[in-house]
Amino acid sequence: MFDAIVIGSGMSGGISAKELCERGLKVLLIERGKKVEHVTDYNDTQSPWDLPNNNAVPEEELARDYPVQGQCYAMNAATKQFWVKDSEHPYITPEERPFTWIRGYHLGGRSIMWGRQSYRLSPMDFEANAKDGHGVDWPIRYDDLAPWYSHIEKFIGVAGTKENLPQLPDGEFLPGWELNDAEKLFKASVEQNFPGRKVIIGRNANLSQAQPHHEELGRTSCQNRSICERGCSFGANHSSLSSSLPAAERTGNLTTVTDAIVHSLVQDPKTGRITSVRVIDAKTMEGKTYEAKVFFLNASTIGTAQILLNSKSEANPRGLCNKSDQVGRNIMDHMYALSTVGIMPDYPKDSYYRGRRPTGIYIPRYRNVTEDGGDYVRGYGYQGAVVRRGGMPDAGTPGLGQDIKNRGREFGPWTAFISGFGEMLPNPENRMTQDEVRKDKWGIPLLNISVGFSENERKMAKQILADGRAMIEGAGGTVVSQSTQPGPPGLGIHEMGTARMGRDPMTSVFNGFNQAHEAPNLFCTDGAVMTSSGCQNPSLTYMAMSARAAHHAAEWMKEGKL
Amino acid sequence: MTFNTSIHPSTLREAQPMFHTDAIDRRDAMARIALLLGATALPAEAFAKSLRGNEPFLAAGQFALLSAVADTVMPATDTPGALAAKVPARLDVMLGAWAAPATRDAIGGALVRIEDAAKAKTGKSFAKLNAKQREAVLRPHDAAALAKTGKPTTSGKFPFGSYIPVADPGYLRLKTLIVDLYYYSPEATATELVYEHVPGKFEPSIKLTPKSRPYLGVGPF
Repeated sequence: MFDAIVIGSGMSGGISAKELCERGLKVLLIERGKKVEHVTDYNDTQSPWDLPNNNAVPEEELARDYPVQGQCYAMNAATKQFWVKDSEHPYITPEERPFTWIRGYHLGGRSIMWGRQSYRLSPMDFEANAKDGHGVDWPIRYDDLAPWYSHIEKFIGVAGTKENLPQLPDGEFLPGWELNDAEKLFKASVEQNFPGRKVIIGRNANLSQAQPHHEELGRTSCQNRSICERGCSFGANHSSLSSSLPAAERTGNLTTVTDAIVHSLVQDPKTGRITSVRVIDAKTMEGKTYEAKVFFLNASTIGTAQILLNSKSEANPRGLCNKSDQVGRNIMDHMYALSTVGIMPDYPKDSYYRGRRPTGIYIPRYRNVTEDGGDYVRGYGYQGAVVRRGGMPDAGTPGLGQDIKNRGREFGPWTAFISGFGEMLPNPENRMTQDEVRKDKWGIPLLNISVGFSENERKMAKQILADGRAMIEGAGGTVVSQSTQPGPPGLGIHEMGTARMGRDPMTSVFNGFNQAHEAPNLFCTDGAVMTSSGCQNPSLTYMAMSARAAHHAAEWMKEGKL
Repeated sequence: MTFNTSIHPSTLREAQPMFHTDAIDRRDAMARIALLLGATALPAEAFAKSLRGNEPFLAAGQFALLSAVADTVMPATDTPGALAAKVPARLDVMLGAWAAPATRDAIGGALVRIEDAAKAKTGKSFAKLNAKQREAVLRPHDAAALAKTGKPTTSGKFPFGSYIPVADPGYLRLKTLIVDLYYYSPEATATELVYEHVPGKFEPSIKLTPKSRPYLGVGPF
């Protein structure tokens, strides 16, 4: 018997495993996908011409096997191995309420391909539901999580600058990347034209300066390649493979199984405790059962709720820990792809930069903070950059030979693009359910996932685009293109909320220690537990909750309470 | 016009692996010899044989046409051109291993329309023309094919490029592949745009000089 079982090896599971192992627990880490190895399984040493088909996935294969995953910006020939084949892992989603489920089933999960943007939620985010009445109140406040944010930032390495903003608390930062000359001008004009708004460097989990505790794990400083999603052989960005799992392994307490699909959890109806987890070998279809004293669900927002729903029993006909009927509900993402692109004709023509910086600029939320939000609640931030046009000439412009080469050699104008990330409200009708008929090849019911934007989000989306235009034009730019609506829910890859935390067992699934109301030895620290979504990229919060919950679980085990 | 009329049916077969290590040395050697000879001195069909190895996708005549078009879009000037960067052979591999039938049709159709334009104007196949004659055919064809026919739309995909419909979308795809494959080559990055696989440092502010060359992008920034 293991002390602890962690289900899922991605962003949050890697940290859960590490933190539990470091506290002396014997941990079994269960990953549903294949084993992949740090460095040897990456395609990051290849120059562009060394990659097949100019780094494009064959068109028919893309259409057949990756119709959903292919919508993600980071999907290409070099990263193909890190995305699920939609053809092998189907789900059902209605045409009028589509959910774009971006997934990676392999050791390390999406922590290999993630965007690395790392922001703390703020006190106002944890108070938002209580204040405006949407969803239920968070059972924790910012101060509960603040030390754990620090703990994670130090461990993973987050580069950033201190800004002293109440809506985006500072953290334990490595030196932030620098703005280029055009971004400095853009920052100055936005901050002057719109007092209260800030343009800062994106806070990213790349090692601007590796510290000794990073180097101990074989991680080195970032080389500014910006091909992070291929996996980084320098270990310069945090992933389970580069960082949390090596830290867990060096304790000698970690056992990992891959190709192990969790079917369900087994609960003792008398004590409420989880006794074991049922697993199906992905290749042989063989069933296995593993036992432990404590269980951590880190299977990702949708995956975790799927396990709970599939753990039906006579005592729990609606699924495990689901007396509240909240499991699978309240799916949130961030509104995504609300982008504005502008040419900045007056920015310095003799200035350039060198290296591919692995982050962009960030405009922290200001609506319903320093500026009124008008007819909607909550807010949004922007990610973007100001880059120098030039380089690859556009083949769509008429011309041949020397014309094309001349255009390629020209340094064009600076181009600003900013793209909003808008907060979605928890809505119980945005939900996933098990299909009553169709099953996957392991006999697990397929999921129906149905998500739509509400009136609040539609109003906010309009404002995101209007503000984007105003900031670029206010900085002297000419808007050359702009989206008209957000991408489909899910494409932001910040899905969360399917088994929310709360104070009341009748309206929530996990408590303020990420402990199930209905199963004292079951914890969840992935996106499923998010009570609201904020507008910040959420991975840092999952990791902080993982460390905090692991700490409490280990303490309670020592004290004999678990 | 579909692609099937413009290529030999026997060439429609399964994709071959991208690289055969034994074949690539031979092809490299031939390509280097071709460069020494001067690209235009060697008939296009000789390139077909020298650059593609044993399992070409396009039939020889079509490959000669593709090579001639690539050499006209990106000729050798003071810097190497598409032939030195092995664009025709790399594009041939992509037609076999990457392109869906609709894309093959679109690109094949674009090639056929160039061939038709050459015959209408000169009575000869495009590949049989000299460099000057080819340019005289392709330049007006290029301008007409790329005439804009609609308004730009923005992609929802990061980093949110915008796209404008044109008169001959197949030609745009063909030209885009030629230009992309050219710039993403060691030959072009040695002489045109700069590519550093491992930049090491990020330098946020550099003063441009007349000798500065733009960087070739890879990834979002």
